[in-house]
Amino acid sequence: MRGMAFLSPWLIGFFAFTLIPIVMSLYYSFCDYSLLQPPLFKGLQNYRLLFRDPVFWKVLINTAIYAAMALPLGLIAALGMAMLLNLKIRGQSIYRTIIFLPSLVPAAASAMLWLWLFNAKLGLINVVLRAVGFVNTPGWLTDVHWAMPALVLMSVWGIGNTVIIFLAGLQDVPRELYEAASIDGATALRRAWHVTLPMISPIIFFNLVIGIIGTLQVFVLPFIMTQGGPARSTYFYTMYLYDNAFSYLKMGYANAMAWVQLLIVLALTALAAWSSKRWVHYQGN
Amino acid sequence: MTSQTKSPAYLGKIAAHSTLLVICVVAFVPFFWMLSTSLKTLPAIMAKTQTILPHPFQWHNYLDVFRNEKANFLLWTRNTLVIAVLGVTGTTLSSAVAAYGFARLRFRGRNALFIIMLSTMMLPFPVTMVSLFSLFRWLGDHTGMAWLGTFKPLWVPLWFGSAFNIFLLRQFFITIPNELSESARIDGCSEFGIFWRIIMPLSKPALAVVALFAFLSIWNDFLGPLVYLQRPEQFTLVLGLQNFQSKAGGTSWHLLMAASVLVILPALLLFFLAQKSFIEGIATTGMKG
Amino acid sequence: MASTVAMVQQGTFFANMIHHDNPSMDSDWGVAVFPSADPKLNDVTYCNCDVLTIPRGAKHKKEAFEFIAFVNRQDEMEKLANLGCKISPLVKVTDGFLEHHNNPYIRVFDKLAASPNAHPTELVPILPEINDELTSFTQQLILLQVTPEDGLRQVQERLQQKYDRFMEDQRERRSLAF
Repeated sequence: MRGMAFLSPWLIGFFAFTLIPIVMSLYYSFCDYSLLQPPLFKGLQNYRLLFRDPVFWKVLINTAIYAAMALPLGLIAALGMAMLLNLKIRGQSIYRTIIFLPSLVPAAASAMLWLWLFNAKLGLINVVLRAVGFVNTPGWLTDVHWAMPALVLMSVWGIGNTVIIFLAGLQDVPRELYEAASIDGATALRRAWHVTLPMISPIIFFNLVIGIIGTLQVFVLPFIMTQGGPARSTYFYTMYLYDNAFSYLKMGYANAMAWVQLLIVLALTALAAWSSKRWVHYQGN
Repeated sequence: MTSQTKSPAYLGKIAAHSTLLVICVVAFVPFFWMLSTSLKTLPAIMAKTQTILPHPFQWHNYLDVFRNEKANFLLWTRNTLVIAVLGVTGTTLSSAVAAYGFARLRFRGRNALFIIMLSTMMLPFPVTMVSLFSLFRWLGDHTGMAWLGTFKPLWVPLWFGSAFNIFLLRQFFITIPNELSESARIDGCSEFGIFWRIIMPLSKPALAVVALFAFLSIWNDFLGPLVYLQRPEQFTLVLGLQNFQSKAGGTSWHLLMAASVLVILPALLLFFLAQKSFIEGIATTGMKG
Repeated sequence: MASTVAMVQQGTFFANMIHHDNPSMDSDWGVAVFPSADPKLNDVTYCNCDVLTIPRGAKHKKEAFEFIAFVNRQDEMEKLANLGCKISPLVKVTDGFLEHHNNPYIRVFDKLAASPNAHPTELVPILPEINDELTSFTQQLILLQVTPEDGLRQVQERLQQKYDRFMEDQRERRSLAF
């Protein structure tokens, strides 16, 4: 009883701001609903229309491509940096601070900054590229082939959080394990592969799941930087959902998209969890 | 013999240092360029050849950010701070209450509820975004209390605890020895008394971390204000930043960068003031296992 | 205004933008009516106007009405239109309004607005969708990803479906209401 009393603020909030909205969202996803008129039950119509909507497939594929590039790149880069930061050398706290700083930048400010850096004519990136001899520098965010890679590249700038989580995991790996491996004659590379990776695999798994959830919801940067262009090449899932909800006032359609998104997130997380049995090693079991 | 074993290690160190240096330069150059641009004149920015440092330094760009007709920077700062103060207070207190229940009390269904709470962290915001919007609209129509177009949707939910903060505080609360609560209980202290007079004062560092993260997440939030705020007078800073962008081309980059510097600055300041608790707080999030 | 484009599709107000951003171009530009796809029609255009309204529950209805009446006085309206480089929406204009107008090509616009082929933009319930589809089409066109014919046909198909769906839902709502 006392326990419930302490949980009650959270429980009330959970019902009011999470559970009820989820149930409402499921119901709306079966309705034609514009906010201006009461919802009208339509059965599976939204879902049927969704799967026939070429823009839905476009944003789904765009999001998948973005995730397939940004997620592995981010994880590998973060793990690599964390391993470097875990070496016993001088100046680590300064390196760590500088690598962490970009992840403090609000996404909207980060978008403005990179909009400027990627600017085709005056941006620093192209200025430097031209200075070292490139003639045909890409238009980056205005170029249909480069806009997506540009967004992926800048996503790596903000992975400081992931680096810190990896670093904490690396620092928890018992010294004795490395020493034992060294005595057995294992090289640094083999030690990393056979000792470090298995030991921090739970953390890789954690960052992977967080990464899946995050990249599938990518919104702020493309919303500000490209508005989905050019020619919808950077139009992502959550942006189309947002447009359907608040620009076209198709709340039912947007909720159907939200439920498909939730199912995709759940399926990918379950897949990661299932595969993790093969590669994640928990200490003590 | 010694020189043979020593030199590869030495080379390795040099390689590590130079790699880290390159990474740090790449991480830092955007900051530098933003700062440099924010102090340049518009002709200097538009010039064919760009200088690394501003020449001349145009400090009044920062004043112009506040004097800009398209942006009410002071008002937006005030709005952001109002939401942040209400939200940080609310989420810290209410998350602590719930975390206490999860960490220090035994009751039926506790573990199940804990797992439900953790899984809400996985929920994509779009799933609740639209229904919350219509919920707040409905509240406005039926309670006579306007929600949409006010700050309420952005801070009231934070007074009911949030999963991430509850989790973080629970991890801290379970490390506090049980004897402290037991002896207080024998002395006739109420459960809430134990929470408020014993556990809370002992948890100041963890509470500070939670408050810090909550502040940053409110300060940085874009989608929430975008959905719920309607008039420019109510914008938060990150939402208002867009007003410095010109849709028709010809953006005043020096002003946009100066405004961005001002938006980033508080986060950086907070970080340098509380670097240690920051790093430890983030490290804890990965330790749920 | 950077003197790099030969032709743009723009409205009356553009005269002001040229004057404001690049005065040296003031005597260096001209206006022509956009050609029509149907050779039998000429002077085809869309007309828009701003509408002043008094919202329900307004605190100062009377003052608001007086303000609207003030703005609609012929002299005030002409002052406003002249400053905006626009035509006056009123039927009668003062002698000399067109002669001494800030926009040197105001007669072209005035004739266009009076043309029998000038239409208001249709009231379409799916306007944001139309805008977004056309933006995407224009970008694809610039990138030479589609031909104008194919692209416009696809846009037309998609928007027609959306429009039909919307009207059908509205019919269903009405039939349920009775």
